[in-house]
Amino acid sequence: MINMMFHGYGYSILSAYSMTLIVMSLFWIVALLSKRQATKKVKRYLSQEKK
Amino acid sequence: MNRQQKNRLMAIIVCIVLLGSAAGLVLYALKQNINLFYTPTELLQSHPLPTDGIRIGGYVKNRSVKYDKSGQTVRFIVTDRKNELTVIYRGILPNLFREGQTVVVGGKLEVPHTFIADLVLAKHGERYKPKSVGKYSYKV
Amino acid sequence: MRRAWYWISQQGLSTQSFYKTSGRLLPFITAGFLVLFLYGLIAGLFFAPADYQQGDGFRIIYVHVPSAFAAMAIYFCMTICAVLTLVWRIKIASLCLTASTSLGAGFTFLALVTGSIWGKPMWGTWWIWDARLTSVLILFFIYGGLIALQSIIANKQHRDRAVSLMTLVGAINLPIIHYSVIWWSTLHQGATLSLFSESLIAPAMLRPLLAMIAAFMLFYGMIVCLRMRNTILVTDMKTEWVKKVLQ
Repeated sequence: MINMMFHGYGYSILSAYSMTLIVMSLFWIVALLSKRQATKKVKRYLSQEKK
Repeated sequence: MNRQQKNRLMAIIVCIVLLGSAAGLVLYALKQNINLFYTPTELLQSHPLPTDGIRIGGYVKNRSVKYDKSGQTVRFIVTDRKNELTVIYRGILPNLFREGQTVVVGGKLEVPHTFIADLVLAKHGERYKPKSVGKYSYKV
Repeated sequence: MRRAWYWISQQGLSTQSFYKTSGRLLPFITAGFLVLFLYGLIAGLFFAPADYQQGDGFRIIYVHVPSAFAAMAIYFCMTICAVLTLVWRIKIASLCLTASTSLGAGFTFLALVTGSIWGKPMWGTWWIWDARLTSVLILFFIYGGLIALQSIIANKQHRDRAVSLMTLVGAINLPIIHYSVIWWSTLHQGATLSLFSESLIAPAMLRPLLAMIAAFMLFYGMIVCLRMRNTILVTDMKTEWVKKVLQ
């Protein structure tokens, strides 16, 4: 159906666009995960310092 | 900017200029090897005439595309508006292949002016426009 | 003037003020990215007219060109950061440099893959060793080399200087990529977009393309800011301001 919608180029378009979306969202997810990790690490350090 | 920073900046500029000229010289020396194809004129003028494993590029001459009876072998003329070569090819043509289009053809040269192709690639132009031809006329 | 310059180099470029400013800017960058990206995606796929030669197949341009543009723009940005690192030892410049390498590699990869997917139906081949494709592949390897370099050197100062130096060496590839289609005969066509002359693409097709290019650059800014902030938070964790930020 997708292939018909874009007159025979649907699969090419689908693979190019989904590849782009996958790579970009991976970058985003990893950046957000490492933000959580960094905050955790610093908070742990700060709580140890208090003791 | 203090003296140390000035020195570092100078060192960087000198490095870039030297590396840039080295790269420029290498690329200049390799010019003919980096080119993807010969135009028909370049090919016919080169001595000795290379015959095998070469690529030529040019326009598909208008009204020159002819299929044989089985419809599998196609014969067309590639031209750079000065010289032309007849190409014989058996296989699948890319979607953009049509008369007036630029193509890159790989194969071997058979005398006289006939090219047996094992590869036909279509080049496309820099222009993008809707199908209804209006203000943006396409110049070949 | 001199005092202003002094203030900028001492305070304005400190990790602390970067953390604050980027925190304020990030919501706007993210919102701008989302708006432009969604507009570009929808308009590019459904509202832009089909091309007179390539039909709907040309729509790959809306991911291919922005990826290639970002791949080169990121390297250009890294080159500036490398000079700032080597000459002025500006800390946030080296942070930006090391945070950019894998993003640049990612976008170069996307440019190569989407180009390949586009090339198969149109040109008739997935890959050809012409000057443009080969020089972009070399850019990908340069990014890979930089990632390897920055991961094997433990000492931060040494690492930043080594990566900066290699970035400058690799910068020679940028003009080669850009002019490859002019200097040599290639299968890849010449540039469609130009800063100084009229673009060779119809306005209705151009608008989503420009939106996508802007969106990809905002995305780069967004991820780089996020990464730099994470690094700053960890490296500065013994300072007072981090304590205040996290409480």
